[in-house]
Amino acid sequence: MFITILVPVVLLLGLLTIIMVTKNMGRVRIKKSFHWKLITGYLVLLLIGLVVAEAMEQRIEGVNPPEVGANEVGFDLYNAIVEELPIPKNLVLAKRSHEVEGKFTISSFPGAYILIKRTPEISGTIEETVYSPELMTMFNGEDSMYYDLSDQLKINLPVWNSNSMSVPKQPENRLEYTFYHDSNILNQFTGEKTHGNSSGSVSGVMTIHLLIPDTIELDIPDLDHEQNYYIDILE
Amino acid sequence: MYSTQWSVNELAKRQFFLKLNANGAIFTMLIVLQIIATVFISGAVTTTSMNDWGEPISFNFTSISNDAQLGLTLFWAFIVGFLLTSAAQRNESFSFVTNRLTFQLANFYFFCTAALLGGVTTVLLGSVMKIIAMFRDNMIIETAGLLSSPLDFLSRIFVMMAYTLLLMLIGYTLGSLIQWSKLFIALFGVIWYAFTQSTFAVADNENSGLLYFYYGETSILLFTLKIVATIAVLFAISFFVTNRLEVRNP
Repeated sequence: MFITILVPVVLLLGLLTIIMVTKNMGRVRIKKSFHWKLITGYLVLLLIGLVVAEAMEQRIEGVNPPEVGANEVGFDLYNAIVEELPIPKNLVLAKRSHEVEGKFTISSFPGAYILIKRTPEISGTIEETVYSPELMTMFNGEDSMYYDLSDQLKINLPVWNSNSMSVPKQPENRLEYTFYHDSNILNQFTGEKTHGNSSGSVSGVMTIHLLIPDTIELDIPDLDHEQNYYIDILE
Repeated sequence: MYSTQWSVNELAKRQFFLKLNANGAIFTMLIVLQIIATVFISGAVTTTSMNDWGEPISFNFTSISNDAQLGLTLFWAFIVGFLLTSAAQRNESFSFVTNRLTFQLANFYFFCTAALLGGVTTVLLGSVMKIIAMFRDNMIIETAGLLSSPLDFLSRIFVMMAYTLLLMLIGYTLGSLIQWSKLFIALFGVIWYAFTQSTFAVADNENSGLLYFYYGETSILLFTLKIVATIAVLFAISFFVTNRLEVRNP
C-alpha cells in the first residue's frame, strides 16, 4: 500500500518541481551555454573522482578482512583441544609459560572458558594457550559468506602472578565498519550483489587452555552457572 | 522542387540538436538531483549488538552505495520522458520543416543521449561515494573498480543506460497516451495498483513479477533483447498515439 500510494505522489511532486524549476530557469535568463558548460564541468569532475578512487583503491588493496565460507565458521575448539587436532593460527591469541610456586589458584572470573589438562611432568611450569572467540559478519546471505573480524576483538589476557591466575573484566567492543558497494541493480551481471551486512555472530568466549603438571596443587572455584564461568578438567 | 534534399535521418538529427540545445535545463536538473543524493543521502547505519561472552559487543555498519543517485536518476528519466510529450514540446518541433517521423526519431535520439549521460554519471558517482568510504576507518570495499575489473565497470554503465532508457520510454508512452485521452490517467491508476500488488504485496514472490523479468535476467544478451523489445513496443505505441494528436492542439 505504501508503494502504491507513495510512488505516484512522489512522481507527481517531482514532475511539478521539475516543470517549475525548468520554467524559472527560462525566466532568469540562464544562457543556454551555461547548461553545457555545467555538464562538461560535472563530467570532468566525475572523471577526476574516478581516477582518484582508482588510485586510492590500488593503494589500499587487500585491506578487506578475510572472507570465509559457512563451513569455516564456528570452529569446534573444544574438540580440537581434546582430540589434539590442528587449530587455526588466527585463533591463537597468546602462548605463554609461567613458573608457579606452591598451590596454584584460579579466582572466579566472568566470560571465559578454562580447559585444564594435567601432565605427568615434574615441574613448576604451566603452559598457557589463549584462544580468541570467533567474530564473523555475514556479507552474502545467498552464499553464506562471512568476513572474519576475530582479530578486531579487544581482549584482556589473563593476569598471572607467582601462584595464581585471574581473568580480568573484558573490555567493551565497539566495532565500526564502513562498507561500500555499488547498487545491486548496477551489479546485475557482475556477481557482486550484496544482501546487506546486518548480521554478525560471536562464536564462543575466550578459551584458556592450561597444561598443568600433576605436581602442582590446584585451587579452582566451584562451578557457578549464574556467574558465567566454566572450568573443565580434561582426563 | 527543392535546392537541397534532406534525408529523414538528417532532418531528425538537426531536430535532435535543436532539442538538445533547447533542453539543457533538463540535464542541469539531473546534476542537481545527483548532487542532492550525494550530499544528503550518503549511507545507512545498521547496528547489531551481542553479549554472548559476558561483555557487550556492538557492530556499527555504515553502508555506502550509489543507490540514492541511481534512484533519483531513474526518477529523473521517467519525468523527462513524460515532459517530452508536453504540448509545448510537441508544438515547438513543428515550428521547423519536419514531420511526425523525424519528430519521433529526434525524441528517441534525445532519450539515447540522456540515457548515456544518466548511465555514465551514475556509475562515475559510485567512485565519488567510494572515495567517501575510503576516508573512513575500517572500510570494506565490495565493488571492484575500473582497473581491477573493467568489464564489470562497463556492464554497470550499460545496465544503467538500459534502465534509464526504459524508464524514459515508459514515461514518454504514458505521457503520449494521457495527451491522447485523459481517461488513461484512471486506467494507469488501476494498472499501477495491479502492478504493485502483484510485485510487492506478496512476500514470497521475489523471483516473479514484472520487475524480475528484467532484474532477474542473468544473461546480458537476453537482457538486451528484452530491453530492446520493450523499447520498440513502447516507441511504436507512442508513435501510433502521437500520429493521432493534432499539432498545436494541447
